[in-house]
Amino acid sequence: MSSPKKIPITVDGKKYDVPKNINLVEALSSQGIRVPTLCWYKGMDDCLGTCRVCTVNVNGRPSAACTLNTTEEMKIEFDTSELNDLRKSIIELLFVEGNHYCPSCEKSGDCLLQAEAQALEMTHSRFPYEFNHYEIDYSGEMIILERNRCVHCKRCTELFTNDDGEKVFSFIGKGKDTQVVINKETEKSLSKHKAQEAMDLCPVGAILVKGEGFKTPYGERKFEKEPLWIKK
Amino acid sequence: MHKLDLIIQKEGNSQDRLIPILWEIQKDIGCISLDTQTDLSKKLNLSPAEIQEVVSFYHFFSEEYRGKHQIYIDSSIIADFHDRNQIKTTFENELKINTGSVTPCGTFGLFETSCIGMSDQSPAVLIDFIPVPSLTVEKVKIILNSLKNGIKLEEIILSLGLGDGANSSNYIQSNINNNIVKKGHFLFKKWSKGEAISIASQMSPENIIQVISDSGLKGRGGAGFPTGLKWKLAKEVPSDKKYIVCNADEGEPGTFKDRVLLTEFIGLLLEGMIIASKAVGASKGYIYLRGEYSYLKNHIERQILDFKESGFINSFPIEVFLGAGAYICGEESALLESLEGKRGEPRIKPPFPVEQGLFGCPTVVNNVETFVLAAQIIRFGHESFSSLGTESSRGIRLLSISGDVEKPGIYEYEWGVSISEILRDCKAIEPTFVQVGGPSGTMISNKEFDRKISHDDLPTGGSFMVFSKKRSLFDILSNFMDFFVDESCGNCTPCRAGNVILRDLLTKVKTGKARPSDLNKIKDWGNIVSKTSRCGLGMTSPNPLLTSLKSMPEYFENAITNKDENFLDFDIEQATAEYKEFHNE
Repeated sequence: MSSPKKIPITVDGKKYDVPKNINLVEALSSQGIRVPTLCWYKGMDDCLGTCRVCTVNVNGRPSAACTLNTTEEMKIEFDTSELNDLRKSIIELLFVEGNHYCPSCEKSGDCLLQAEAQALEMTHSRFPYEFNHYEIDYSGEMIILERNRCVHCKRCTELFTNDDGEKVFSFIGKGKDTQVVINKETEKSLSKHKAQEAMDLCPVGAILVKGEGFKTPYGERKFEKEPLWIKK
Repeated sequence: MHKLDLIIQKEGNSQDRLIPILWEIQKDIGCISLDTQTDLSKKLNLSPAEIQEVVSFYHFFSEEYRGKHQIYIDSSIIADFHDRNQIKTTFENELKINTGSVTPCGTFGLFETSCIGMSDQSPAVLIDFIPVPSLTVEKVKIILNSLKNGIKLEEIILSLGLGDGANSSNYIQSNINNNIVKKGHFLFKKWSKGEAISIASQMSPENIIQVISDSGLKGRGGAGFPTGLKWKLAKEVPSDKKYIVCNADEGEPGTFKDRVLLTEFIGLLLEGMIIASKAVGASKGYIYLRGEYSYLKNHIERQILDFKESGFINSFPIEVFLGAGAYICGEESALLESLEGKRGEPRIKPPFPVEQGLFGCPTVVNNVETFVLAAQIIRFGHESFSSLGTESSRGIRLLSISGDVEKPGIYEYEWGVSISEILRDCKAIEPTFVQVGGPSGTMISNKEFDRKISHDDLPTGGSFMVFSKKRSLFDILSNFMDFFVDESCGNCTPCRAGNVILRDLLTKVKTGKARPSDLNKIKDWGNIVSKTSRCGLGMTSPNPLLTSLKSMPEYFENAITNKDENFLDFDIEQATAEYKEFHNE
């Protein structure tokens, strides 16, 4: 197998050689540049492009990095004060849209929103809190849907299915009223292992497996052991 | 469920038929209940959740019963300024219900909806998806009484009088007028059926694309992408199947020119689509017609049949597909999702529709006006078009003019025309602000009326709303922000959450609760939404706020009544009321 063709790209004025036609977030990460992400994760086939936390400038225009593949002579701006602030502002928007109380959250320490907020040195939100009301759905056999914490990334609705390949989560409504719902029929068929997969897929604490929330003690959780801001 | 079977038998049982099926159910039963969704899911081999995802996305589909007669009041700002509230109150009083509900007997449902494309004859409503324009209190009473007495809506419309042109034809029979005020010398050249097709039949696909490219025609939906290039790109992608889609989802508040083109120029539109199909090698065409214009469906289908009988479209069937009330479906990739029977959420680009469009095949999506102009360009040659307009913006532009003017309607202009000339022509009444290009466009003040309509000054998708000095800038802006909050698809963070924040900030300014620093926040936060949003909706939704703040900062500064940065911008008594009640203070 021949190694993929390398092409030159520029990031903040510096030249890099990266494989052609690979995901831009991955390409930057391979060069030691960590792009914040929420809906995207390494290894996913098709990006979701929903959260917009990975916004960079590509050839002078703002774009979500996860939605693009590398092309020759791509000119990226990443580490500018404006772009750093744009990315941080989206995290802040999510904090005021939902109701996020980290200290009491089952996913605290495993939560990507919390980890990115810390990595981007968010101390508060510049936006006024919305204090929206969200229904928590306890009606599942295995799963609790804690909508106060949902960031609408669509990981669960687009990527997660039960063992028979059927959808368990759906996106209903429009605009600010969009919400995730559980398909009761397919949720019933989930094994505990599969339900845990859904909880792990959720970047925040919106999908919880009943009775499993605090299994890993605080202090020993993913981002507590490996915070995003140290891992360059 | 016998009825459901009949509908599915007629429409077919694949997912891309879902929206036509849902339309039939909604019109027939008045709702698409969860039980119906479950039944339907079994027959279509989808999960009930997949059906609910779609039903809950579109404004005209509803899980709850919307009444035997469904009434939708146009909530555009133009309607607001034409006594919409009085009309709304009349409906509410006559029916003894609030907007957003159904009468106890289930006969009438009263709801609101975004601009229905009748700004030249406002206020208007849709009754059972038939538009009734130019309403007065008297007219509302007559209509409701007639309906209550069992008189058919068609008869009521007849008694109100039919509109001009094809509006009075057997296939439309509407009370609407075309209001064509200014006929220019390009679009309104007399149509001769089949002439453009016959000229194109003598040309090679490359030749057709060359003529369109040389004409300088740019897409008329607003983004202004060169049409010739779009056709060329779609032609170059190898594929057995390609599609031509006409975007007739004219949803930008204040525009109605496509309504008139669909009424009076449907033949030219079809010819433009057929020519495009030859240029790119497409085998099927769709006209995605906004639900609000469903009253034009028979008329369009009649013309398609006529073309078929004339032998013009043997190998290129054209289907009319009804949208269901979602502004976002005017975005071309969202429109394609909707055509596939899904939620109208914009796709990630690239790939662009010309590479992977409808059902993954190369697809050209063009606006109604674009196809009509393309047909005229083929008839009269590229120079007939490129010699008009300006360097950056060739040819002509149809404007839909509404608001505080004596002569609202359709105007054909060469690009490059100045705002003041337009205002003179339409007899604007004390014009103070003009919104060019609809809520997603540019708000300008009377100090800027020497500016010009063109891609490098004031681009526009055709909406041109004039506001007199008696209108409040903040009323206008609030209406626009409400519109964007309602119409955001909810897919990406900045548009879904950011527009709500911007609206709240505007409310603060409007109600005199803003601090001096809030004006900078409008700029900064508007910039965040426009730079990080996924599609054109979020990229442009802050425009009315940003452009009006730039062009008339004095209005905003005057609205800051308290110059003290630290004043309490909330009511402290109200904020602590619960605490006091609890502690009996």
